[in-house]
Amino acid sequence: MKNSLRFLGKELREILRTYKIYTIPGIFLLFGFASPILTKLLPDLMENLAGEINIILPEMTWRDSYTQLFKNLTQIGILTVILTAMGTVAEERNRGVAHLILTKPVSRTGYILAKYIAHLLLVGVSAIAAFMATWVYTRILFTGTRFTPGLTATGLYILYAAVILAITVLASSLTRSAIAAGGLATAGLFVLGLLPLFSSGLSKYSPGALTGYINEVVAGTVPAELWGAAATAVLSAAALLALAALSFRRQEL
Amino acid sequence: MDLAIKTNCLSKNFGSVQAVDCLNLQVPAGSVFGFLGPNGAGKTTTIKMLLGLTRPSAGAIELLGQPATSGQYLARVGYLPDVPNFYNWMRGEEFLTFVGQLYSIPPRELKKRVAEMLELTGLRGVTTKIGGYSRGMKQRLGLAQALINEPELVFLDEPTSALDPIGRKEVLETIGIISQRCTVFFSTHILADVERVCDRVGILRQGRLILDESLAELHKRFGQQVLRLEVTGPARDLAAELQRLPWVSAVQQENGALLVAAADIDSACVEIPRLLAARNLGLRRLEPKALSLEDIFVRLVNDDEK
Repeated sequence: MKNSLRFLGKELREILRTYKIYTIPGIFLLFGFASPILTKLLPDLMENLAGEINIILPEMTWRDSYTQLFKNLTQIGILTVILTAMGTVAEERNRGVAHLILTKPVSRTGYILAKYIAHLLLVGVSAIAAFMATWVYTRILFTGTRFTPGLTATGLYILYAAVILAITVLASSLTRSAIAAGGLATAGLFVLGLLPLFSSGLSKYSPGALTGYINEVVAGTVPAELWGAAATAVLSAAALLALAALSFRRQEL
Repeated sequence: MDLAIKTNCLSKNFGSVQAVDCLNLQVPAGSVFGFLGPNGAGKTTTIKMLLGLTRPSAGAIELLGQPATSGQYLARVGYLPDVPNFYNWMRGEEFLTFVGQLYSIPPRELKKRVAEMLELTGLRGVTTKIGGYSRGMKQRLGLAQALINEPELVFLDEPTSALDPIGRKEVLETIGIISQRCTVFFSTHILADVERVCDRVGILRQGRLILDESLAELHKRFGQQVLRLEVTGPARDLAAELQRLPWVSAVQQENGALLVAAADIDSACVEIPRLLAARNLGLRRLEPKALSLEDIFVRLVNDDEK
């Protein structure tokens, strides 16, 4: 246990001292600052682009600003998460660093968990920072801005990202190259997005349904199924990680 | 005899390929064991099985008196892979400290050991990140991390294979120093390195152990079978005459001397001076020729092929 924590410390130091500290926080903060401004300017932009065509857009509100942020985070933000984490196990194994470390008294399960937790912390802190940036700018640019719906949506987003991250770590533990892991994780993301289409149960309770609930929470409704979907996301992430740890323990290095 | 490593019919196959075939290794504690074999003989696979990185297909392993399945021995062993790689963003001292922490070495003791290891491997004062290290520096850092826990047994997988002569000399000198403290399992295909630092040798060929013997016994066994003979006077036809004797298996010319391979060395030592006296030839030198490990290796591998 102590060694897993030491390994987690190493992972966090690695994030702080490599490109990882610039990618996820950088892109998330960019969305955080840009989303309210883009939302505010959208009607003017549309009017200018339309020329003589008369386009009538409803007046933008703080909810639109939040919606814009989460749209960006669930699309490009999630791809950034995959790109950043896809090599976390595969690259170390490919380069032989894993051989060196796993002949020390370090458990393979601890190795996988440390990598997952470190990346989840990075994503979580970045998402919160992005929301805070959006909240500050939204308060300046829009009236009646509320904090709680955005914070709840951020929590749901982190849960969603936790599942994607678990898929990515599993993919990374199964393959020997970061690119292959990235491809596998993207396929997993695609499947997760399709699951809600298969049955009404999946559309309500699968982790993929969380992206829809994020928008509903921002719009001011809290669907009863949300907590079920959140619980499924936690269980899915745990199951994926258990699978990653199990397969990694059985692998020959 | 205390054994640091004991394997019982250890085998590994990858599909239809038998990488290691019923290996019975017995490495005495305190020895420097040279694990020799051509490329692809199964040396790295064996080391990986011994360290728990690869599962054996069959057989049992005991390391430092404990069954390898327990994993308890990991705190007491060190390992240097053939191509060591590290976290390139770290500095050498930082990496050694991190590895030491994984062994739960108390902070004050760890600081002392890190300094000692940096000194031993000539990396003291190097402040560049590991990503900027040369191949030789990485090899030396690999050696330092393998020793940070003061292991009772250290595995070195081809530690000199890709080094320049100076880097190789430095690594061999370091191995010489650490051999005073622990058992060294030294895998290589460079015979000169084994002759220089090892006291026992195992030869692996196509996954099978074809020899496991101390270097001294090996030289004695093979060296005594060849005599180097130098004579005074006209020695024409002597080689052909020697060749006809029943206890001589081969005669070869080498730099003005004759190399006589004898099946019965005692008879040779009595008969050769008698033969020279009968032909009125003077005996300048008759001595056993020390075969190099390379000669022995080639002979064993060739014999095994037959």
